[in-house]
Parts: sequence; C-alpha cells; structure tokens
Amino acid sequence: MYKTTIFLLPVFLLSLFSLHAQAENKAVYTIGIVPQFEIRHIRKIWNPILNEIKRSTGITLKLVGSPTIPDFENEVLAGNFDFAYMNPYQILLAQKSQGYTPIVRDNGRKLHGIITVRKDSNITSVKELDGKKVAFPSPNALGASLLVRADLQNTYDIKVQPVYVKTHSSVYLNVVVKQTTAGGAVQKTLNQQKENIKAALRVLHRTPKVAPHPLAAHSRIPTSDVKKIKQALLELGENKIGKSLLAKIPMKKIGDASMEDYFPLYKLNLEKFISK
Amino acid sequence: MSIKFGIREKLLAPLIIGLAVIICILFLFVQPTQFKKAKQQFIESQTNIIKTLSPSIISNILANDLAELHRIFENSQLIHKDEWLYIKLLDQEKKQIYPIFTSKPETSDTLIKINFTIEENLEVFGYLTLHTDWKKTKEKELKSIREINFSSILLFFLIAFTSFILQTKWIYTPILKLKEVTSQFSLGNYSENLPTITQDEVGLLSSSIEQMRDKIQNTMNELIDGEQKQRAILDSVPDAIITIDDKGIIQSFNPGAENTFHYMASEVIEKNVTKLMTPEFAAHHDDYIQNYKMTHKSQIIGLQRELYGVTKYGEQFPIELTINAKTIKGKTLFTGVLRDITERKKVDRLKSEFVSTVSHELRTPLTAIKGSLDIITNGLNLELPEQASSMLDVASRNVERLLTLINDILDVSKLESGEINFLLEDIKINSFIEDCIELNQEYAKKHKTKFVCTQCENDAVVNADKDRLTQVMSNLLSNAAKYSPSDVPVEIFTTIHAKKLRINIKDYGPGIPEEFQSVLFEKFTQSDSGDTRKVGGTGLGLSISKMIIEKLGGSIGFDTIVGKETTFYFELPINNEQ
Repeated sequence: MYKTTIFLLPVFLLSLFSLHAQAENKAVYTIGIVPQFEIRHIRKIWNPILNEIKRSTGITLKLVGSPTIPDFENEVLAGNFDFAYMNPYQILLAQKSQGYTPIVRDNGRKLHGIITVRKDSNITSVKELDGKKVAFPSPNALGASLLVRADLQNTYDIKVQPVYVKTHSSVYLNVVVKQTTAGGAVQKTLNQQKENIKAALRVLHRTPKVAPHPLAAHSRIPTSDVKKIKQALLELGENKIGKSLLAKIPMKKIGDASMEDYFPLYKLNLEKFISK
Repeated sequence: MSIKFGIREKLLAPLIIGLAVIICILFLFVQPTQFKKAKQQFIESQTNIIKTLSPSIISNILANDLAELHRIFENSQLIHKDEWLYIKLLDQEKKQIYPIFTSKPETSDTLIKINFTIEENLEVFGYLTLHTDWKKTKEKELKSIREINFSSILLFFLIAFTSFILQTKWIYTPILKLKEVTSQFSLGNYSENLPTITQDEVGLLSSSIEQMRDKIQNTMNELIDGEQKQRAILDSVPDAIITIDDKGIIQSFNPGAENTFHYMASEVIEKNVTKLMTPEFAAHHDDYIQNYKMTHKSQIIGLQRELYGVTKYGEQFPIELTINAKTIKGKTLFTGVLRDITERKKVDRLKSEFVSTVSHELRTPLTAIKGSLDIITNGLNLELPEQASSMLDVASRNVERLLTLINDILDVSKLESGEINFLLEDIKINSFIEDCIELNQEYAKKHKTKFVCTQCENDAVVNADKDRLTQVMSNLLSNAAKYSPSDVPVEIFTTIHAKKLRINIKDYGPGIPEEFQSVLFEKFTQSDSGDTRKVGGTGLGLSISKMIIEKLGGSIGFDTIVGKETTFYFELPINNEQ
C-alpha cells in the first residue's frame, strides 16, 4: 500500500499539471476488461493507466465491469463497450459482429497452451490421452482449453473426457491428485504454482503460439481519438513508470496490433470448441 | 489451666476444614468435570466449523475446483493454525484429494481426531478427517478453570478470614478481656472495671459477671465483718480456745489461750498441741485422734473433763476441757475450749475443808448432847413430868436429825473431795439383798409396810465397797418405805442385762412429780418440800447414792408413774470371773 502510494504520487502530480493543457478534449468513452481476475484487481491495474491516458489526451475512459466472462462476451458482441480488452478468440468474434479493431497488444510474447501430466505418469505421448480424463479451467479459456482441445483434435485426432475445474490451479491439483490423467493450462500459470506442485508435474505438450490479448476499439469511435489513445499507450510503454503499469495487464512490451495477428486462429476452427 | 485449643483455634478450625473441603471438591470433582465439558465443547465447536465449511466443500467437489477446496482448507488451517494440525479429505471413492504433500502429524496427548462425512440430502461427497490439537484450548481452559478455582478459594478465604477477624473481634477479644478482669477477681481485686461490651450474649455475660462480682464483693464484706466480729468475740473470751488439725497441729490460738498458757500464738501455731499437755495425757492424745478418725466416735468429744495443762514455763495447772470435732472439706478440725480451774479447785478444797471442820466440830458436841439425852431418858430411870419427857423426846429427835444431816454433809464433802477410799470386794448379790432387807425391815415396820424380795435368786457377784453399797440400798429402801402407802409392801427384784446387774426397788407411792424428776439427784432435793417434815430426811441421800454408784462404775436412775408407782434402780457390772 505504502509502495503504491509512493509510486502513484508523481503520476497524480503530473496529471494535475496536464489537466489544464488538455482541457479542450472532453470526450468520455467506456472500456470493458475481460474478467480474468476479480474486478477490484482489474480496477487496481487499469485505473492508473486510464488516468495516464486522460492526462496526456484529455479523453476519459470509464471502466465498466462485467461479473463473468460470458457476460463480458455478450456485452462485447452487443457493442456495449467503446474500448475492450479481450482474448484473441473474442477479438475474432467481436471484429466480426461489431467491427472492433485491435489497437495495441503485448509484442513481447505469444500465447500457447500446455498439457501437463504427473511427473511419475507413464503417459509419454499426447496420443495416449485418448479417452482419458483431462482437466481444463473452463470450456472457453483460450490458451488452456480452446487451443489445447483444438490441437488435440485437429493435430492428434483424439478425444478426451474434458473435466472443467474452474481455475488453472485446480487443473494442476486435479492432475496431481490423479482425479484426471492430464490437464490443459498455460505456461505462465504453471510457473506461478507452488514449487512442490511444479515439481510433481511434467509438461507433455505445447500448442502452437498465437498473439496475446489485444485492446480493441469499436468502429464507432472517431479515428482521431483512437489514434490519440493508441499514441498515449505507446508513449506510456516508453517510460519506466508507464512500462511497469502496463506490465500488470500484462503487456510487457506494448506495440501495434492488427487483425492480421489473429488470423491464424481462424484455422483452428475454435468455434467448434466454444461452449455457448 | 493451660489452654490447648482456645476459642480462636476453635473458630478457625471449621474455616480451615471448609477451605480444605472446597479445595478437595474443586480439584477432585469440579475441575475434572469442567475439563471434560470443555473438551466436549471443543470437539463440538470444531465439528461445527467443519459443518459450516461443508456446503462450500461440496460445491467445490462438484465443480472439481480443487484449488478452491485447497484454498478453503489452507485458509481454515491458517485461521485455526493452533488447532488444525492436519485435515484429510477423501472423495466418494475414498481417494485422497487433500492434502497432497503434507503427512499426518505425530500423535500426542492433546490431539483429537474428528471424522466427518461430507454429505447433503443423504448423498455422500467425501470423508473429512480432522486432526485437531486442543493443547492451546486446553491450556486456556485449564487456566480459566484454575482462575475460577483460585478465585473461589480466594473468595472463600477472604470470607472466612473476614468472618474469623469479626468473630475474634466480637467474641474472642471481649472474652479475653473478661478473662483478664475475672483473673483479677481471683487475685481478690474486685475494683477492676469490666469492659463495656456490645449488647449481645457476650455483653450479657459481662453484665452477669458484673452482678456476680458485686454479690461476691458484698458477701466478702459481710464475711469479713462477721469474721472480725467473731474474732473480736474470740479475742475477748477469757477461755482458751485452741484449734488443731487431725495430726494434732495447732491451727489457732486465741488471746485467752495466750493468757492461760503464757505462749504467744506465733510460738505455738503449727506446733503439736502435746506441748501444752502433761506427758501422761500427751501419750494417749494421738491415739484419741486416730481412733476418732477411724470410727468418728469418741468418749471425750463433747464431754467436759478435768485434766492438767502445762504452761510455757513448765507449770502444771488444772483445766476444764471440752472438745468438739468438725469436718470441713474432708479435714477434721478439733476445737478445744479450756478454762484454768486452779482458783475453783482451791475454793472447792477450802469449802470442803470448812465443811468437814465445821461438821466435825458440830458432831462432837452433838454426840455428847445425844448421849446425855439418852442417859436422861433411858439410862437413869427417872420419873419425869410428862411435859419434860415430851420436850426431851423432841430434843432427842432433833439431835438425831442434826447428826444424820451432818453425817450426810460429811459424806458429800468427802465424796466430792475424793477423800473416801473404797474398799472393793466381791459381793454376792443374793445374800447382800437379804441382809439389807433384814437391816431395814424395822424401818419399814415404822412406816407400816414391809420389804419383799420378789425376784432375787441369782448368783451374780459384783465388785464393790460393801458398806457404801449398803448405804445406797438403805437410802433407796428407806425412801421407798417413806413414800409407800400403809400395808402395801415395797418390792425388791434384780435383773441382768448385758453383763450388768440391776437392783430395783419398787414402791406404790404417789410417784415423783414431773417438775422434780430432773433435779432429783441434786443436793437437798425432795419430791415435795412441804412433805419433808412428814417423811423426814436431809435431801442428800439420793445425791450421795448417785456419787457412790458412779464412783463404783455404775449408774443410777428411776422410772415413775405419778400417782401409781416408782421404781429406783442402780446398775453395776457383774464380776463373775471366778
């Protein structure tokens, strides 16, 4: 808390100075964030960034929360948000229905799913998972569920019994306590597990990589404002304080995003694996 | 008297016993029960926690959300980190889903294992086992139980101590004060004031003691007054009054005794009384006392006796002594009242000498006169005128009377002064009575009666002076003849009882009037003074007879029925040894 205050103080002071300079642009837009985390956590990450955007552009971005991922998806597909931060599969749907366009994304990494088994498991190839119970966080989780299930079917042509266990941590625990033979997840969450969990698991397979979550703008937003915001974010990525703010989204290395980044996803026929 | 357990100790005893009982009850009964209850409550509370967790456990099992399940258990374990040492959750197929890596804790005394089935609407979702350590709770409970126990004991102790202090203040201290004051009473100090005490029983006791003190004080004053009066009387009495104990040690010696014996009281008190006695009497004195102590009977108690005392200077003098014995609190005290009778003896002797001299001097001329008169009337055969003859007869009778009187007075005088010597011999009573009757039969004839021996046949023998005994018989027979009616015989008979011989002389005369009965044996007494002339006599006969019989170791007496009869008798010890 103390650290945060120290950290935010200069940002706050800077905002006070710039308010006067940018007073002429009084546009207000809504922004929706995919609720991968708790809303409080999301606000904690995004509010400082939105304040920075307002300071440098004068445009106010108002954070609108969605209780669940399906709610968020519905609102996106209904075009309720002016701006939205969503997963790569959702941008495919959003672009198609509302003409959302990606403006920035993390250029430092790519998203891929992993399949974990117990370290002492006698499973040595993905094929052996045929007919077995495999844990996933949720049906529509992109990296952990959609990419993995699409890969299993498309590449290996096997069918597994999916067990949805809500979270990545549950996936790992289900594998460790042998409730399921394997589990779909992403490398990042595996790295966040406790050492003994990590030590009990082994990565059996990694899916092909896709671009990570973009921030997209609705087609109704004036291009000038979209540009200003994009510019403001890119500038933020250039200074140290701004970079650390963005890293929490996570966007370690912010850069341009375009619809082309997400075209490979089409090939995966993910809609087959979406649970409506 | 030394006190072993005082009131304070007795007041303290129930409090200490009560305290001990409370401690025993608390530690033997209350504490284990509370402890057991606390354990039961702990188990219930733990079970209740699991119950509240149960719905979310079920939800997460159903959602396969092991992460949330783990988070719940980890959080719970964190919350209950002191108790929840280990939780194990098995799924429906009894496959362990929690924990993954933690192993069971080592068992300990305070570890409680609770098995709980996770179920809802009779559907079982899993089996939970909780190893919970109630060490901290136990310690906390124990501490609280101990605090309660300690508080109870402290409270009781405070109440007991306060009660003890108050009891000491209200009961013990006043009693102690009373004791101090009453101790002063026992030392004779009655002026000590009693403490002012509260209006309770102790206060009542105090006022009772005060009343008692006043009464004792009054009684003491009265006693002291009485004692002083008695002492004044004792001091002013000319007689010697001496008190001795049963060992013959002198306890008191009044001023009269000081004058009599010329000793100061301080010189003889606590000394043996025998130093005041002649050696002959002193030799028997201890025996008298011992005999009295053994039998409580004595020949000398209450009797007046004459004996000799010894002064400080060794002079012997006659005394008249009366001894009385009194037993007070088991101790016998003998009080002797003594009178110096030296003067009286001297006067008696002078009187006797005078009487004897006078009598002798009278008797000689009277004998001459009597002889002359006898010669004139009988020896010379003179023809005397009838008037002269009558006058000579009167003169002769009066001379005879006078001689008898003088002889009797001489006898009394000799008997009283002890000048008569008895010539003791064995006398056969049978013949002795016959002789006496014969000797006095003439006299009976003169009084128109006769002596008849109605029962005289026995062979008793008495040791006596025959002449003096004859004198007694003659006196009694002549008296009987004098008072017997005409032609009625005087009866003489003997009886023997308890080795004593009794000789009875019975007449059927007028009897002895009641007023004379008590003085009959005194000198110059006759039953009817007015009758003296008619019956004659000096009035000394019975007195002389009494003295003679008593000197012979016997006794004399009479039975009479006024207007009907009189029996005089005397008793003597029988001496029939041969």
